[in-house]
Amino acid sequence: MSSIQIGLSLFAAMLALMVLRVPISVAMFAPGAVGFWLLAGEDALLSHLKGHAFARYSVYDLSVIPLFILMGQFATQGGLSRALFRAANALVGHLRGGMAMASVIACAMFGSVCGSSIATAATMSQVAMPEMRRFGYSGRITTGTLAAGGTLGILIPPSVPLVVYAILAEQNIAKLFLAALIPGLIAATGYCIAVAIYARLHPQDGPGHAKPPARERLRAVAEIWPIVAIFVIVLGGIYAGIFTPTEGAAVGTAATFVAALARRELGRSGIYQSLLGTATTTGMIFFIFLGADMLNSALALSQMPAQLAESVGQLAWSPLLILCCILLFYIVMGFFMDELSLIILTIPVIFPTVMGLELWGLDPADKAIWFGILMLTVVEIGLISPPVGLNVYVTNSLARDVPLMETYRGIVPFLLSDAVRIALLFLLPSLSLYLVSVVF
Amino acid sequence: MNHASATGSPAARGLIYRIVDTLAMLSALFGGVVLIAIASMTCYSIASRALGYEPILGDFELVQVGLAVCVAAFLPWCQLHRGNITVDFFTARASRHIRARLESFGALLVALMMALVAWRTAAGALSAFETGEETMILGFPIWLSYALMTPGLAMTALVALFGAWLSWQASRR
Repeated sequence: MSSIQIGLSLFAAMLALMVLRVPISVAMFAPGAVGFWLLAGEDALLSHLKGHAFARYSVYDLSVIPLFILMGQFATQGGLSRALFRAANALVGHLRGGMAMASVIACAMFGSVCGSSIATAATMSQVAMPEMRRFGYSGRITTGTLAAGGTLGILIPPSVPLVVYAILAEQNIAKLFLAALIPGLIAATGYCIAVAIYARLHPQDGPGHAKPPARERLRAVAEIWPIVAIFVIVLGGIYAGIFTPTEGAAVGTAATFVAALARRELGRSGIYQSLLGTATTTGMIFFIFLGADMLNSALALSQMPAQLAESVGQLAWSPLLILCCILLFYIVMGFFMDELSLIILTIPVIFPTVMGLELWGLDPADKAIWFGILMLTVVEIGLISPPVGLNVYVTNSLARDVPLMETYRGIVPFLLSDAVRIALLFLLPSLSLYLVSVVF
Repeated sequence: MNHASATGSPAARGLIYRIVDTLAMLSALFGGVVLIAIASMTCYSIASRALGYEPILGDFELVQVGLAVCVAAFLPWCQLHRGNITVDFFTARASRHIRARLESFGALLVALMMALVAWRTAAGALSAFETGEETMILGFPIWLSYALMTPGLAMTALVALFGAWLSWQASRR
């Protein structure tokens, strides 16, 4: 069998197991272990496994992941999300569709202390949804906005998927965080525009309401200074090179803990819940690592990634067309798989191929950053589109009276906005690279 | 993709479930304490550096070892509470009986995988002990890091085995 055939049969076995409801981590681990055994023999497999778990889990940069997750948990349990929604609502809530825009803005700000999409969607839904419904917003626009707004959690740094990409592709986390900032702001702006247009076309779905007095609005905005300060300290420190990302995450976690305590909303049970929630989410990610590493070791033995890069390089297609196909592949896979499994599984195989392409004349470092941002943007499409759409499920399950189809209808304006944004990021790499070139 | 599931209903939660749940929770809380220790030590190190004192020597290595121990301790809780993601899109329409059977099979595979990983990590601890490997700066014994990971990994295998049994029971109801 050729390397590509071996690689494809391992992938086929993995997909078959996944379809059979086997957890993704094992669906990757089992074909990986068997493939490794067949290619290198039993002794090699057993000796490889000796260091397998330790080698993957004792990576300094990976400590960012549980730390940022814990930080997000403290922010959630400490009620920081409510303050954010109140502030955003005080600013734009009176406009037509304004509370939906406020949700988008609050999601974006929450994304600055939380690196996960589902957590952002779930947290902000709990806060914003009852308010929006109370002011007569339809179920469609409410759930659609919050499901889409959740994706800002991973676009606005810190971002767990981006950390994972950085580690697998051996890129600088700080640069990637910086590169994600403008695309994240474009996303938030695009979503606000989508809301504004939608509310203009369907005024009954998102009514405006009276403007609260200026004093009250000012007070609501002033209340969020700790979150702004944390964002500035953590990311500013990382960008300026004062902290490593791990140090930034540690400082951010401590600061968020203090801010949550100061609001007097984080009690002992909140702390327990934060730790247990961190255990679940961290465990989820590191399970996938364990499986994907095994599969990727087997793939590396079969030399499939190198072969694939070479074959693709020999194709007479335009490199940009190939990149389009790769992004399309991510969108389709994103329909069925969660974004982290997808990134962990595919980057070791796809990244060498992408690096072999000649794209807009970018140098390798810029190309790696740009591709990371593009990929992050396309995988989050899967979070809000049928048939699975994890964010859609999460927000919809929090609104009992809204049928799932209504939420999917509510998502459409945001998907259109995403399509425009992907085109922009694809055609103008400088949107992702400009800040990096200025700071570094 | 789903975190919750049809099986593991409260009816199935007998005494054994509560024992397993408590053990997994203690392990997760231990992992959480290690994580908080990592965060605190890192903050302390930054503060000393900022104030012109010597930062903690080899804090880098402690973070690495701590992370490995912390993550291994998180896994049992994650496995028990179905944080080990599955794709349920293709089987969402299957009967409850078939889904429970498939989940039982999946959990059994997790148990096998984790048993294999736990066994090899324990073996890794032994060989690192024999060679006397140490970390570069602190001279922290590598075998100890391996050994501290093993209980979490082994417990995950047991939790998965228990989950496979629970799902099997559920499939017969």
